[in-house]
Amino acid sequence: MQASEFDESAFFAAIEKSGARVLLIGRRALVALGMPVLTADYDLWVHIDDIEILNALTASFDLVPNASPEVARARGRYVLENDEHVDVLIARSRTTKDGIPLTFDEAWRDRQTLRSPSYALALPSLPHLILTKRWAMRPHDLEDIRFLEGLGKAAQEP
Amino acid sequence: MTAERFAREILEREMTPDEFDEKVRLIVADEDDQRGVLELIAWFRRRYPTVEARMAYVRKRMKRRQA
Repeated sequence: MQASEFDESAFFAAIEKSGARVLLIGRRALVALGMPVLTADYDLWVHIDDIEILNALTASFDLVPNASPEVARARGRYVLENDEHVDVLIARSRTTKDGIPLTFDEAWRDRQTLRSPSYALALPSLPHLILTKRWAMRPHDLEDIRFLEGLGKAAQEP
Repeated sequence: MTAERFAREILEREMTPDEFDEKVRLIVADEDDQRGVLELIAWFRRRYPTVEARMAYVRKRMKRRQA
């Protein structure tokens, strides 16, 4: 079976053009910021009202949702998949294990935008990205916080 | 149990907030390690100056790893 060739730049450009409120989170957000970490999948946090917009545009990349928008809304997440695996979080808010909440609206309001020749990426702010790393508190989240704290220090340097 | 499953169990284990915070505190307090992180970030940004180039680098590395 021939693996499909996924055009990542076209994918992010289509998201930008669609107007959907989509934040890149997870390890690929760290890569975008300048941290050399590896990951196989994509993690997106999408406004709950924008699922249909996202699904419509990702269909042209042969990405298939594993749940209907209704089911996804009830679960708070779903997956877009083919040879790629895109985890889509659509919860209105998430809370860390020690009780610190972060709403999508707050994360979207404080987002940072990284511009590249072909597209612009929306990411949560650095403090909000660190907060997302406290949702599950797994060993690789520690590694990611190590980089994010380093990046925070780099930004403060003259 | 396969080695891969054993490793995955370790990597996916969720910590308590106290355990996690203690480890974060130790990581952030390690100045040598943080200096190393800064150097790594500087190298990666220099070598791959655009977001697009950095994202492409990861796709290339993952493809090579999965081959």
